[in-house]
Amino acid sequence: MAISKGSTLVAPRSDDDLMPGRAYPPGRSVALDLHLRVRGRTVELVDAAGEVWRHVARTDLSVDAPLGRLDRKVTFPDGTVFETSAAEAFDRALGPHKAAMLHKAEAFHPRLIAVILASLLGAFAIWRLALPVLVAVAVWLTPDGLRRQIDTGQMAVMDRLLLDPTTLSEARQAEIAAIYADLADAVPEGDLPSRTLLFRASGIGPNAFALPGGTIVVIDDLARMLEDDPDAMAGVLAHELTHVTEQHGLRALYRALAIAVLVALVVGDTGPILEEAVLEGNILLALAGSRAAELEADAGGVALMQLAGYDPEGLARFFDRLSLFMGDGGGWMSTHPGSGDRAQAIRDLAR
Amino acid sequence: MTTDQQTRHTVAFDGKTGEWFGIWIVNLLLTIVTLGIYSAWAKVRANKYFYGNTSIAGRHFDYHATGMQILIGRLIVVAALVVFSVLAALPLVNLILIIALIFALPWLLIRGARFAARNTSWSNVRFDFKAGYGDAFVTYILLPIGVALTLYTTIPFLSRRVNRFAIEGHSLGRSGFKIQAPIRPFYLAALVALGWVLAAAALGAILLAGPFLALISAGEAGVEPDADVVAPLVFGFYALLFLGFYPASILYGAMIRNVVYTHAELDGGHRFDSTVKPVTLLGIAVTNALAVVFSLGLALPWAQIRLTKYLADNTHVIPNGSLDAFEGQLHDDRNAIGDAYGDIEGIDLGGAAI
Repeated sequence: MAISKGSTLVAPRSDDDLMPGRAYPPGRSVALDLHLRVRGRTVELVDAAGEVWRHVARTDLSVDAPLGRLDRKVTFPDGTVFETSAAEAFDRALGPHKAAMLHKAEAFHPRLIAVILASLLGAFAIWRLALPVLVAVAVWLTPDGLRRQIDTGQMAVMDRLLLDPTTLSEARQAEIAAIYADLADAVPEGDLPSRTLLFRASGIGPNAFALPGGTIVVIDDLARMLEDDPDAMAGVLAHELTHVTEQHGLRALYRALAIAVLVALVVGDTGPILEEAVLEGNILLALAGSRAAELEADAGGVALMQLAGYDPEGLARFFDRLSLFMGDGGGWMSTHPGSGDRAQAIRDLAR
Repeated sequence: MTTDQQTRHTVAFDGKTGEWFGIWIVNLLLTIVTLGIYSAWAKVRANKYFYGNTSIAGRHFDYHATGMQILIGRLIVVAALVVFSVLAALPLVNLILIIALIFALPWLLIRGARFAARNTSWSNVRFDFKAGYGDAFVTYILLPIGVALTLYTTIPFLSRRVNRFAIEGHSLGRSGFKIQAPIRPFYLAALVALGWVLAAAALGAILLAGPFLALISAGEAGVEPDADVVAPLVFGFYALLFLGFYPASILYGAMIRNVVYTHAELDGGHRFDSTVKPVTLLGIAVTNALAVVFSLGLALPWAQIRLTKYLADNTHVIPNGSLDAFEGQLHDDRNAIGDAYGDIEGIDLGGAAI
């Protein structure tokens, strides 16, 4: 049944439209027990004795959007505020607020299940579609100077936790530096933020890794293991250089930061512990890298080796040695694909 | 309990999980559908819900910022960050920009706090926030450097200063807040927090040292330190963070909150009290986090209501006479830049503001 808005000609209706509530004079904390009365196009504040305190046109009244079970609230032009818990009478007298639809949609109701599903779908879409774009823009905006600063910071942490000064001879370091120079020269101008090659001793096994600013770290054990195979050494360095030119490290870092910012803006305050977990947990995942990035670095490494005049077979040989040395590795849980598959893929590419 | 003295009002929080869930999930969906634009209105609706359901002596809080103000603030901050990154590519300019940002930070903090305060009311009286730039610079830039130089042994002094800055900057209408707190309870809280970190580290060392050493010495070859090798080290680092530092910071925060509330006063002799139990708060924080993770985030509204309810139940006001006498002017503050910067960079006063 539609309730007519009524016109000024209609006689004042009964107590139905008299809503009890509290009124606050402008800017003051004292609350007065008054009633709100809607009469056609005018709205009044009246007290128990029937005396009128305020009398304004309906259109001059500012009405707050309804929210949950909270008291309905109106503000008079002079700043007087009136609150009432008589929500039904309020809506009937003043007509539906423009946010009434929103209020209805928010009600705890089985249809929220559809909203939940749509939200989960939307979150997935953001993760798959919007995140890569955000990351690409951020990478594009990052100056080389900042990348080098990231390297300096990460090296300082790793030197303290994980790495020791190198024990390689000057001659061996120079050999590797020469291979590095051949490869770095073959990289297109401007793709390397810096040409930094570092040597470190460590208990992390024969290894090498790259940082976002172009720093490449070769672990002593790796330099010794590949002493007899310059092509294999070139393969490892070319692989790491590709990580730098493809900006895998920076992308992973920004991904972690972007997720943290998106969660804060979209989901809201996640509370203590979780707030940290979202950021730190993501950076942890970023450190681990991804299988896709490794395969991309293998492929880019092959191309770079060919360009610099090294035999890509060297990188394949390296993976053969790895699988002999420690088994295939690279289960479905691992961030790195299996060595055997990688050697095969490299030989296919080099052909 | 204190019937012999004045009345004691416990802060009431009447938010309901189901109701807030509906508002929250609709906020979430609209934010996604509008590519983030609605998040400004979502923030207003969330704040209005939590403030409106919080009351002292039957008088409610309210939040008055509009979505448009917050959206404009956020757009300006995002645009500034983009310009900042582009300009930072120039060699000398980036150094100047970083120095400029350090000097702008105290200003942004003050503006953010002022926007939040002026758009918050209790019993129809607006809060306000006033602080000098110099005070903010000392509190948030110089003192943290000084604390680092003393190897963090003076953290309690910084905590006291930060809280005093937040409390004394605020006023309810024309009535200002004051705080006079001794340093002793701050040091006590720091010692408890330190004790927790040391205990967690010791326990971790005993339980995890063996497997770590075994894994590290079995170093594998690769073109990256494989996750299998680095993971134990990184895991150990994060375990210390999540079992040591973060719980300790929650315990510390709870103890500091109690100290700050009991020593704060509102003009007219109105006093406050906080009876948060640090271990209970830690329990709530941990179980909340677990519930949210295992529910794909859907338990977040429940977790937020639960935490807010616990804090409200343990916050008390001891008024000195009538609560009718507060009054103030309405300072219109539409400049949400500081507020938006805080939202995006996650920086705020970090004080136990009311």
